[in-house]
Amino acid sequence: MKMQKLTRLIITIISAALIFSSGISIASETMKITYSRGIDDLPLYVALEEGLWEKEGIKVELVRLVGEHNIIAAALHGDIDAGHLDLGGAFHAGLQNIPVKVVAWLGHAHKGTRCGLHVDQKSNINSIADLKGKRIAESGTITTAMILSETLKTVGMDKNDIKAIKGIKLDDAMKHEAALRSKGVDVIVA
Amino acid sequence: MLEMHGASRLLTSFNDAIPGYVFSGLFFTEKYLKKSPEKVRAFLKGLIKAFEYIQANEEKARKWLPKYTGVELEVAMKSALREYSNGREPEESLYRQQAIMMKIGYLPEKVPVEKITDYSFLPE
Repeated sequence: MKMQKLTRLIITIISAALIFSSGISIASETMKITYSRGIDDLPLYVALEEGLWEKEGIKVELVRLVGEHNIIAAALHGDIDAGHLDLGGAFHAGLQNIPVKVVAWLGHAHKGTRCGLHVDQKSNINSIADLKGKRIAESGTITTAMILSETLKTVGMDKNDIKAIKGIKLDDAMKHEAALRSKGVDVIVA
Repeated sequence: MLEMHGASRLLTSFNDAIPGYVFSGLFFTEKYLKKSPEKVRAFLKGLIKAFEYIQANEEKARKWLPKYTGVELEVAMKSALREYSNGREPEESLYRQQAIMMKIGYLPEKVPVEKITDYSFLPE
């Protein structure tokens, strides 16, 4: 009888220890979240620096990783806990039945948004109609393709009416400045 | 940000082209959501508090930008920020963008929004 009680007590202690230790390890595991080094990730910087995640009992590390395919692959492999996905990437992930879900959107454009089609300060391009035949540098992403398409549509034009130069990164302001000033391009989508 | 350097002027904005354009979101794998729902909830609670913090203390919040982005403080203080909601975006905005993607040949067919999103971990 005493032996049975002792055995039960030992089992209880071991079980409690296992539950306790696994609880500790989950709570102390640092969540790895991707960030873009861009202004648009301000909420991530604020949550980290102002201790907003710490107050919720979690530790978060921001990791730099670019390219949606790389980010999805890293998440599926367990190298990161969460990552960025633009809407187009999310729809494609859905189309391919990739088991990921967007749990929160990181904001939207508004009347004060300054991302768009930029021209040189002294440029004679003053309206969307003036874009006909112009060299427009863009990243080649779905975002710039959509913005250009919708902008050109307003004056009855499409991508065939402009000279698109793809590959410029949206967040590389210094390159944009150099490209406009050198007259290498007429417009930058950034 | 480009305008801040004095190099350019804005001809037309993303919002002029597609009002309320939704840029990007944060995703988790379905496996992770099942395995660690409490961590995801805690993460999102902190994130939404950050949205609120930015609205209430924008100037203070902006001061963190140089550390992470490398932009000068002067630029960081003036650059336009996105409008942060509560982590959700209207379904019609998402479908409107999807329709444009299909029109320009980026997306071959319609994908239901509920297939790509799960807002159940967000605070009410």
